[in-house]
Amino acid sequence: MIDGLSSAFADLMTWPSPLYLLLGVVVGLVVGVLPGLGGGGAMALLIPFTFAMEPSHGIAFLMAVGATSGIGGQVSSILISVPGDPPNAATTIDGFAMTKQGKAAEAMGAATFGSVFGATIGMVLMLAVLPFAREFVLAFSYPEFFMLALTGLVLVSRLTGDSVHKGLIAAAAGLMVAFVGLDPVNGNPRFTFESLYLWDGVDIVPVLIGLFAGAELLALFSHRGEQGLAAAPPGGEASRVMDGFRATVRHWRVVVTSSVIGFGAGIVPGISGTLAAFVAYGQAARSSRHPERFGKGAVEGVIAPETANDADKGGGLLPTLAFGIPGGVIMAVLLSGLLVHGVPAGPNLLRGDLHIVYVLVVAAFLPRLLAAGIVLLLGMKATVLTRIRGDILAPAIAAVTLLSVYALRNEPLDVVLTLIFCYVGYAMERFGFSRLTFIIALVLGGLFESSYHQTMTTFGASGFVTRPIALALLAVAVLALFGPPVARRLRRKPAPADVEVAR
Amino acid sequence: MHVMGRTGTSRTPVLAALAVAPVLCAVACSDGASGGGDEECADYPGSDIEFIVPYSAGGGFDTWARVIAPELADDLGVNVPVANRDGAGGITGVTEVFGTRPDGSTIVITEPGILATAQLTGTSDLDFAELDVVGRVAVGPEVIVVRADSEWDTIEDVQAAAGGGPVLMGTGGLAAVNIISFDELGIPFENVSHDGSSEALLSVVRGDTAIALFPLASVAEGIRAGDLKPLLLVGTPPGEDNPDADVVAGVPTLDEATGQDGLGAALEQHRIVATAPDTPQCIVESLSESMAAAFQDDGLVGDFQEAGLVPAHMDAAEAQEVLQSTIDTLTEYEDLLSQSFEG
Repeated sequence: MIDGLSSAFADLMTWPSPLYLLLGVVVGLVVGVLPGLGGGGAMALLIPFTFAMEPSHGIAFLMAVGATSGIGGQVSSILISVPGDPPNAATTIDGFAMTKQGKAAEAMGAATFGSVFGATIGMVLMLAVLPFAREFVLAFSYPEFFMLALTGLVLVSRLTGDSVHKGLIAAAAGLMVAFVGLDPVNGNPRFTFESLYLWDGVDIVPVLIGLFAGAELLALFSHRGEQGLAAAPPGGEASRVMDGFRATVRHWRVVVTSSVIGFGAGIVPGISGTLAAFVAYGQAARSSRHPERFGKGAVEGVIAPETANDADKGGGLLPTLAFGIPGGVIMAVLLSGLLVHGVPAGPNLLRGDLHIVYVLVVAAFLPRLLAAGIVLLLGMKATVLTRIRGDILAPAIAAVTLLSVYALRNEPLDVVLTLIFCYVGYAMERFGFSRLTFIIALVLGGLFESSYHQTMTTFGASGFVTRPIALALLAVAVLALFGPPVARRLRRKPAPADVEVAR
Repeated sequence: MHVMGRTGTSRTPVLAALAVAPVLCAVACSDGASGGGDEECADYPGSDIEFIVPYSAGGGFDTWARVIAPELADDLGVNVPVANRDGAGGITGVTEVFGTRPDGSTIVITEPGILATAQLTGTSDLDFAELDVVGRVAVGPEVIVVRADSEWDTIEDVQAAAGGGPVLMGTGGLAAVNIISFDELGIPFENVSHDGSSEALLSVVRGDTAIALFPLASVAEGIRAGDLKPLLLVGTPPGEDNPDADVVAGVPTLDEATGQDGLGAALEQHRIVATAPDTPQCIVESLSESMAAAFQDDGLVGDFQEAGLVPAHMDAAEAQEVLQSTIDTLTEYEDLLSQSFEG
C-alpha cells in the first residue's frame, strides 16, 4: 500500500501533473467561493475539457476541483455568512461569529486545516475499510438510511435554537417544504399549485442563500456608520491564520470525531457532506466543556463541520470503488469522468490495477494542501472585506448573491424564492427558530421520505427495528431527544437552562 | 441517469409565456414554414444555435450534447453553446424548445419514450410528435437483471414465480418501459423508486428488491463483476462495436419472449436531437447534414467510444419516424400507462 501511494504521489508530482492540479485548485477555489455552484456541478461542466488530457491528468484535475471547492466555500461562509455550498452551511454559525469578533483569519485557518486533516483521515479510513468495502456498503439499506436521516434531524433540532420545541417546529417546517414536488412513489404532484417550477421541489440553494444571507444582509444595511463587519480592527493577521492551525491541532479530538462522522455519512448517497457537517457540529457542541460558546464564535464550531464535510469524500469513495455507485454528487461526476477516460470504476477497478485508486487518494489530499497554501496567502487579504463599511458592502454582496442564484439554473423564480427566504430567515432569526434545523430538514427530507416508503415496501414496518444498525441509530435518536430531560429529572436538580447553542 | 416519472404540464404561470408561441408562429411561420423560404435557408445559421440539455450536467444526454456541439459549431460556422434546463424529468427543457421560433436557433436532445409518456398521461398538453427531429445520435437496449445468485435463471422462472404475487422491482422512477414490458410478460410488480439507476441496482445486489430494468450501459459493469445476471433484452441486441455487447450475448429479447416484433425497438432508449415544430425543411436538412458529418468523422467516432458513448446515427427523416412510431406504440398502451401513473 505504501509503495502504491508513493508511486501515485510520484505520478502526480511528475510534470505536467502539478500544473493540472494547480489549475484544478484555482478553479475549485473560485467556484467554491461563488454561492450556489458546487464542486459537483463545476466538475460536470469541466469533464469535456478533460477529453484531450491524459487520463491521470484529467482525473487529477477533476479531483482537484472537487476537493478544493469546499475550501473555497468556507471562505464566503466565514466572511459574509453566505455558504458557498450546502455542506458549508454549518460553518457560518461560528465562522461568521468569529468574523464579527475580528477573528476571521483564525476561523479561515482553522477551517482550512480542518479540511486538510479531515480529508486525510477520511482517506486513511477508506483505505483501512477497503478490503471489507462490499460488506460495509451492503450493510446499509433503506432502514439504515431512514434512521440516519432521523437521527441527524433529531440531533440538529436538539442542539440549535431557543428550545427543543422550537427546534422540532423548525424541523417539521423544513420537512414540509421538502415534500413540495412530485411524490417519490407515484410521481403525483403535491403542493405545487399548478406551477411547473414547483414540480421538482424547492431547490435547496435559493433557500439556503436566502435564509442565511438575508438576515445578515439586512443587519449589514443597518450598519450606517464607518464600521465594517468586524468589531475590532484585525491586526497581525498572519499570526492569526496560524492560530487557526494551532486551534485545529489543540482540538484534535474534535478533528478525529468529526472525521469519523464524516466518513460514515459519506456512504449515504446524495446528502453526505451537509449531513456530516451538521452532525459533527452537533457532536462537537455536545462533547465540549463549554457548549455555551457555540454559536458565539467557538473555533471548534468551525473545525467540526469543515473537517467532516471533507472526511465524507473518503466514505463516498467506498461505494464508488466497490460497486461503481456514487456516494455523492462529486463522486457521481468523478465516476463519469473516470468512464470518459476509459477507467471503469466499480468492482473491477479494485480487482485489477489499484494504481488509479491510489492516484485518487493522493489527488484528494494534495490539492487541499495546495489550496490551504493559497487560502493562507490570499485569505488574510480577503479579510479586508470585513472592514468595508456595511452599507457599501451589503448591496455588493446582495447583487453577487442574487446573480449567482440566477446563473445557477437561469431560473428567474429562483431569485424570487431567495428573496422570500431572506424574510423567512430574518423572521426565524428574530423569533428564535433555528434556520439550521430548517435547512437540514429540507436537505434530508427527500431521503427521509423515500427511504421510509422503500422500507415499508420491502421490509415492512418491522424493518426499522429488526436490523442492528438501524436499531442502534434509533437508540441514538431517542437518547438525544429524551435523554437530557430524563437525566435531569432523575438527578432532581433544578433544571439548568437548555443549552442554547446556535441559531 | 434517466428518471422518468410522471412529468410536465403546461398549464402553469412559468410557461405562460409559451401561450404566445402560437401567435409568434402565426407571424413567423406565415411566410416560410410551409415550403421553406429560400431566403431563410440562405442565411442559416445567421446566429448562434443554443443546444438545450433538459437534464442537469454530467449525465448521458449532457455528455452527448457536449461532444456533438463543437462539431456542429465547426460545420455550421457559428457558436453552439450547451445549456442545461433540467426539470420535470426532462420535459421542461423540451417544452421550452417547443415554444421557440421555428428558425433552427434552438435545438434539444431528448428521448421519444419520455415525451410519449408525458403526453399520454396528460402531464403535458403538447403533441411532441410535432417537433422537427434533426437526427438520432444513439440507441441502447434495456436489460432486465436480477441478482447474480438469484434462483431465477430465465424470464420464464420469473413468470412462474409471479403467480405467487407481484415481484419487487427497483426503479429510478416508474417509466413506460417498465410498465409495458412487464405487462406484456404477464409479470405483476411492485415499484420501489430510487434516486437513479445506481441506487436501484444496488438494491438488487443487496437483495432488497428482486428485479430491475435499466439501459445496458448502466448494468454492464454489474454483470461483468458478477453482481447481476441478465435475463432479457428489451430492444435490439447491441452490435459488435458496442463494448458492452459481450455481457448480453445470447440473452433472449422481449420480442422473442412475447412474440411481438418491434415492441423492444419502440421501448429502448433512443437519443434524438430536435428543434421547434414547423421549422423550414431546409433548416432541418442543414442541421441533419451537419450532424451526419460529425458521425462520419473517424476521429470523432473514436472520441465517442473513448467517452463510453456508442453512436447510432440516423438522419432527420428516419429519426422523425422513430419519434412517431414510439408515440404510436405507446398510445396503444394509453390506458395501462395512465392507470399505472395514477397510482
